[in-house]
Formats: sequence, C-alpha cells, structure tokens
Amino acid sequence: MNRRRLLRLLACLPALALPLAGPPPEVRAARRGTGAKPDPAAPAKAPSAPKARFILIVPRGGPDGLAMVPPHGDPFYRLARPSTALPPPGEPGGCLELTPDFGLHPALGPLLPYWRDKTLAIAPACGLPHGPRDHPGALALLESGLSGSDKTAKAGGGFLGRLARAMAVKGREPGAVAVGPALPPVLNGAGRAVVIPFRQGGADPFPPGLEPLYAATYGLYEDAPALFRAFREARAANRSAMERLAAETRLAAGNAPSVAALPKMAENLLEAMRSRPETALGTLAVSGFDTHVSQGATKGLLAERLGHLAAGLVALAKGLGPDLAHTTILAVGEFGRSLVENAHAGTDNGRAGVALVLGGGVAGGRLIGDWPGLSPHALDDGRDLAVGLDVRDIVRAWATSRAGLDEAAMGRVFPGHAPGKGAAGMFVSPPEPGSTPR
Amino acid sequence: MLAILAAVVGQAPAAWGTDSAADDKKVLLVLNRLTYGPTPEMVETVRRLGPEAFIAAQLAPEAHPELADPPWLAERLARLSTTGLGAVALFRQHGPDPGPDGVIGPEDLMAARERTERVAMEQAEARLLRAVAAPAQLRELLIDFWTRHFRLDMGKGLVRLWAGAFVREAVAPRALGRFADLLLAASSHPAMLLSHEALKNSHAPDGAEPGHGPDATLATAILRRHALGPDTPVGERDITALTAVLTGWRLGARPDDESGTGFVFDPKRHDPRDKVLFGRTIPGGGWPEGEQAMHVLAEHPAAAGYICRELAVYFAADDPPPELLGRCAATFTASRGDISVVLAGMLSDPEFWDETLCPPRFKTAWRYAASAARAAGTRDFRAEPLLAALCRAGAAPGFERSADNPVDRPTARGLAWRLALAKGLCGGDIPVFEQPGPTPLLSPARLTEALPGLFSDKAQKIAREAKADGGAVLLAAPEFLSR
Repeated sequence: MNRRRLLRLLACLPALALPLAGPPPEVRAARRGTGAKPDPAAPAKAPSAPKARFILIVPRGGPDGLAMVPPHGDPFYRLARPSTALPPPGEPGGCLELTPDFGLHPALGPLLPYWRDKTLAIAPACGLPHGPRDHPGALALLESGLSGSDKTAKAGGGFLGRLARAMAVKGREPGAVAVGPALPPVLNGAGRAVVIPFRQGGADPFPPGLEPLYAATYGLYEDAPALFRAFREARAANRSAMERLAAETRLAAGNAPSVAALPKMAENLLEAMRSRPETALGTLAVSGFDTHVSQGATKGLLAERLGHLAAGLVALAKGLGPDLAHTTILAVGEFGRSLVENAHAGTDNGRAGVALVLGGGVAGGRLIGDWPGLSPHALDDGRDLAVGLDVRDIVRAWATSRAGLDEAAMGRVFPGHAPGKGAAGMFVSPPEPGSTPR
Repeated sequence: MLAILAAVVGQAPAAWGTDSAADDKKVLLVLNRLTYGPTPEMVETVRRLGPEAFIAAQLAPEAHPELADPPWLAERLARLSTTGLGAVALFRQHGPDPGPDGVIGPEDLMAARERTERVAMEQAEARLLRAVAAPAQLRELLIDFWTRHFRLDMGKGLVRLWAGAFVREAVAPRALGRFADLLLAASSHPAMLLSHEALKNSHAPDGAEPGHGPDATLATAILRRHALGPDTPVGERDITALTAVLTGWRLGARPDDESGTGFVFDPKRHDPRDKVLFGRTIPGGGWPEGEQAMHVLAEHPAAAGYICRELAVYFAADDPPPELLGRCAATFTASRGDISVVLAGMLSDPEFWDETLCPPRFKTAWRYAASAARAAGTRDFRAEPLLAALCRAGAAPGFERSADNPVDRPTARGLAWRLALAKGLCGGDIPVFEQPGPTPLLSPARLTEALPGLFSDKAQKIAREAKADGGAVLLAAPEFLSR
C-alpha cells in the first residue's frame, strides 16, 4: 500500500483522520466561516441534541426527474424520449407504481418501502423557478437559496448557513456537518460548520456515445462520395459535441465525489453526527447526474447512478435508526433535465427536477407540489418541465413545522422568496417530548 | 395488365424463378419502390407470387382479402381512441370547450391545444403502425403521397385537430381512385377550408355588408398546388371563376349529427352566376358547380403532366425520364384521371424499373424509420419510441418541421440521426422491439438471411467485424439508406 492510497483510505475514516490530517476540521471551518464565531464563553457542558435535524443531499449535474418519477401515462413524455422514457408499470422494464399517473424508477426501488410506510414524500416538479441552466450558476443559486434575479448569490452565504444562525439558541448555533472535499457554499455563514474530509480520485466514466459506431462504419461509405462527406462531417460534429459535453459534465461534477461513494459518505456523516450530538444540519454533494450521453432507461448509466443514490439514502435512513423520526433528508439537484431527448440518447440541462423528502415528520406516501404538465404550452421556455414546487418551500415547511422557527426567521433565511403553499402540510408536528419515536 | 407487367418486371415470365440472385434483386427493387421497405414476409410473398401478381394485387387492394389489415393490426389501431372519429366528432369531443360560462377563454384554448396534440399523436401512431404493418403497402404510400400533395397548414389549431380526419375522410378512400373525386373531397374538407381561409370567401353583391367578399386563397392553392402545378400559367379570370365556385363552402353540422365531415354548402353566401373556367362554362347551380369545376381542372392538360410528374418523383426518381412522364400523362388523359390506371401504366413501363434512369434514392427520415422497423419483420413492435425518434428529426407524420427537412437528405445531420436510430434499434436502447437488450431480429445474420441480396459483401464483412454493432452497421449501409 502506497502513501497516497493509505491517506485516501484514512480520509474515509474521519475519527482516525483527524490527528493525521492537520488541524481539526472545526478550526478550519471556523477560519473560513463568515458568520457568528462559536461563543468562547458558552457553557462547556455537553450540549443537548437538537429536536429536529436536516440533511441536504445534492446529486449534482441535474438528475433527470422525468426518469426518477416518470409520468408514464403521458404521451408527451413518451414521444419526447425515444430511448430514455421508462415504460409503464407492468410492461417489461416498466417503472414501479407510485400513483396511477406516476411511477418510480426501478433503480430507486429500495426507497419504495419508505413511500409505502409514508416516510417518503416526492415532489415531481421541484426546483428554483428561475435561474441559469449552467451547472455552476444553478448550483450557486440553489446553495445560496436566493432568487434568480439576485446577483449576490455568491456573496450572501449559503441557506444552510443562514438556517444555522436562525436556529441559534441563546446565541449558540447548532452544529453543522458536511462530508466532502471542502466546506460547501451552502454552509457558508454557519459558525460551527465542520467538514469531514472525503476525497475520491477520478471522475465518473463518460460514455463513448456513437463514436464506436462511427469508427466501425467508416469503411461503408468510401465508394459513395456524397455519403462519405456527410459521414465525415457527422463524425467530426459528434466528436466535438462529445468533448464539449464531457467538459460540461466535469464542470458539473466539480470536486464532488461520485454518487457511487454515497453509501460510504452517508456512513461518515452518521459517524460525525453521532460524535457531535449537537449537530442539526448535515450536507453532502455527489456527482454523476449530468447525463447528456447514453442516459439509458430501465437499465444503463442513469439507472446505475440512481441505484447508488437509493443505496446511499437507505444507508442513511437505516443508519439513523430511531433518529430518523426527527431527521429529515432532502435530496435535490441544481435542476432537472430537458423534456426532449438530445441527439446522443441523453438529456440536456432543464428546469424542474425531483425532490425526495425522507424521514422525520414527513407526511409521505404522496406527491407534493403542483404538476405543471408536459404539454407544449406548459413548458418552461417552451422546452422544460416547469417548477411546480419551489425547493425553498420544502425547507421553510420543515423549519416552521419541525424546527420551531417562525416565518419572520425564515424570511431572513430566504430573503426575497415569497413563500408558496405547495409544501403546506407536508410535515406533521414533532412528537411531544417523552413519546416513543416511530 | 398482368402480361404487360410480366413483360417488364420479369423481362419474360419464364425468367422468373430461374436465377435466384437476379430474382432477389428484382424482389428488392419491387419492395423498395412500392412498399415502405422489404420485410422477410413480403420477400417471401413476392418470390411466391412473382412481381407482376404482387403489383396487380397492390393496385387493387379491395379485391384482395389477403391485403386487408390482419386482426392484430386492426385491434392495435382500434386501441387508439381518436383515430376512428370524423371531423365533427373530433370537434365536439376534443375541440375548444367553452365550459359552463359559455365563453372560450385562454384556459379553454390551452386545454384544447393539449387535446389536439394528443389527437395528432394518435394519428401519427396510426400512420406508423400502418406504414410498418399494413399489407396494402402501395395504398399506404399513396396516402402518404396525397397527404403531402394536399399539405395542410398545421400551424392552425383546428387544422391540426382535423388532419387525421382529412386523411381518413378525404384521402384514404380515393387514394387509388379518380383524381377529380379526390380533388373535390380534399378541397371541400373542413381541414382544407380552414387551412386556406375559405371561410372568408363569400359572395358580396353590390351593397352587401363590408368585410365580406371573395377570397382567392383556396382557389389559388387548388390551382397552383393541388391540380395544375406552380409552373402552369393561370389567369386572373380563372382564379376569380374558381373563387366564385367555392363561395358558400362552409362548416357546420346539425346537433344530432356527428357522422359527417362538417362541410356544409350555404346557398345564401354562394355566387349564383355562371362561371367560365379555362374556357368552359359552369352554369350557376350551387354545390354541383364544385364537382364540375374539379372535372374541368382534372381534365386540364397541365393536370396530367403535373400529377404524373409528382407521382413519378415520389415513386421513381428525383428527375424522372421525360418519356416515362409523357406516357403516364397520356394514360392520365385517356383514363380521365384514374390513378390506379395511371400507376399500372407507370409500373409497367420499362423505364420505371431501369436503375440507370431511375437510380436508388436516399430514404427520407420517415421512410428510413419505417423500413428499419419492417426489416425486423415482427408484429411485436412499439410505435411510440420510433415516433419519438421521428419527432426528434422533425419527421413524424403530422409533426413535420418543414417541407424541406435536412434530415431527409444525405447531410451530416441526416446521417447522424440514422446512425443513432440504427444503434438504438439494434441495441435495444430505443425499445421498439419487445425483448429488452439487443434484438436478435436485427442481428447481421438474421438480416442477411431474411433480406437476401440486399447487403453487399463489404457491408456484411464490416458488420461481422463490428460485433455488437453489426446490425447497426447493416442498417447504416448505403444499400439500406437508399431505396
């Protein structure tokens, strides 16, 4: 075992990594944080666990909501997608049934028990109603929690940072934990954020697309000059498109580990939360959902990655055990994908995606938010599924019904956001102290 | 007729069945020209019957029960809920619904637009199912031909809603009939009336209310696009005369009648005077003037030349041999515009089958997709993924982006789209065939066996070397890209 491999392995073990990896993450985070510093005069006695916890998982790249929760009965869906539409339940490779009109991608099947016992709610058209369709811009906006018109997305800190400040009791913020390569901007402003270092080398593999077929068919057209010209032009165009898309996908992934690492990251997050019982906020981001090429349907690239996402969420839920009753997990990407499939059997950056809301107090087993529909006039910019539920409404609903914050406090967490009713009633009130957790 | 066909297609009847390689070539030539592409089953049929009997049957599908839709296809078509409806029923069930307030607001229009798109999708699916699987293939091609010939303005909502009814009510029953009948049925269909502003066209005697008067849009379209062609000089007097014939052509239906096309003739808005069209007098007589006018147009010498040229461009070559066109036009005139007779003549003409005069042509996106599905030779296919692929190319029936689509030509985009479709079909990513994963129906071994003589040795060798992509290689081979 070489040194680098040892370090990488150690990086996966936060408890051990601390003494080896330089100054403790708390210190680093505190240096970087822009918000309230931990109060040195705060009582040193062990803080009590917060009554409600919130974990944000960002599958980066813009996961295809229309594949995660396919509107399988909608002909606009099936006609927009030659290779990426999921067949209806009951057909070979069909999706799992959620409601009469919506299914669940079979790769997300491990989440079905949570839907059935009403711990999982799903917003089929969730996101930010405005904003850029490029990954860094959209991600910055999501993490800032600000409105699309606001140019201060990067300067205003992250919404989890502001949420931490809003949750402060007697000046003391709850703890916040991120697992990843660095403190994510969504936690900017949190005074007590820590990063559990998690690095993973190598990007998600990028599919070859049509290039192997172009290579194979090269010899077919040598005797047909017009076809051969068109063929070479098509191949060159395909290559440059592949390079452009691969670069975009790298940009979308940033330094986030592949979603394949999600179960492991979930373990690290759980470990960190166990060792810091005062932690109320957690977050991690994974890559792999910018499926511009060979997305697949029931099987294939996206299916594989959704499988990792489901495994990670299940690992988190199982690992939380009884704590799941007061921990809410929100998984949502920076946007969804285009309704219409592109020329590479993939989908392009779109608008609304799917939000999965799992755990504490979720009045689940149902779809939440509006469904704008897929008919041409209902699409955003005439091309993408429009937003039927602002993702900030979910966080608001959690904070007001689970964490005891009021609307005024939430107005400071999401300045400029006019709350909608889409997420009303999606959480039940927290159990009274002393009652048995679910 | 059989004898003529035999003399041409098979050179001599005795030659058929003696040289299997030459037979294979003839079979493929016949199927590429007169169907949406060879299927393993139709290859067998043409071999068994010989080309001449096959063609004779295709020219008279009503007389051949074996060319009726098989029950499985009829059953699948029947599952589409709107493709059996006439124009009036479509309007009442799917058109704009004012709701309880009696006013058609923007919301009602949006809802109607969505219903219209669903109706249009079902019509496209029906067209694809029939293109892939209907045994009366020549009639299907003619329906395609006439639907393009009588192109509707699909940007108008009700025209979109009625486009399928137009094909079923006006085109399909007369696709192999008399041109004058087809011209009248197409010109008077509600979809056509709306497409060409015909409702604006009304008789305005002196002193009538302003805003009413003749509108020549439909008359001009009939003369220039439908009957005589853009190159035929047409005088102002003839346009005015035909416009006057068309006055009073309107829409409507009794509340208790949902069966008709929705065409009504309104004598109050009709110009009652005599008309002179191309020197022939049509006495003022109301609705029957329409039929007389269509006969005048169909018997105009330019109609024979124009329609025969269009047919030859569709079936034979981009630039058909002039002698072939001359003989077809003569047949058109002699048969008084009987399309099946004109086609029988064209298909018995040696020049039609001469591959130096009428060389193979690049398939349009629509015909390529249909031919690829046909090559698999199975009834277990899903239409929707294939339609979705066609929509991506802007080439699904009724959803065409433009009359001149670069994907229809051997352009980089056209080739890229075909390669992607070929790969998707063979690998199972575009799930047209029931089995998940790569389909054995489109494996190189199966394709070369089921469609003998189609693929060159070179294409077969490249396909073998391409392993998993072998089927896609064959579907991308020049001999499969053209017909």
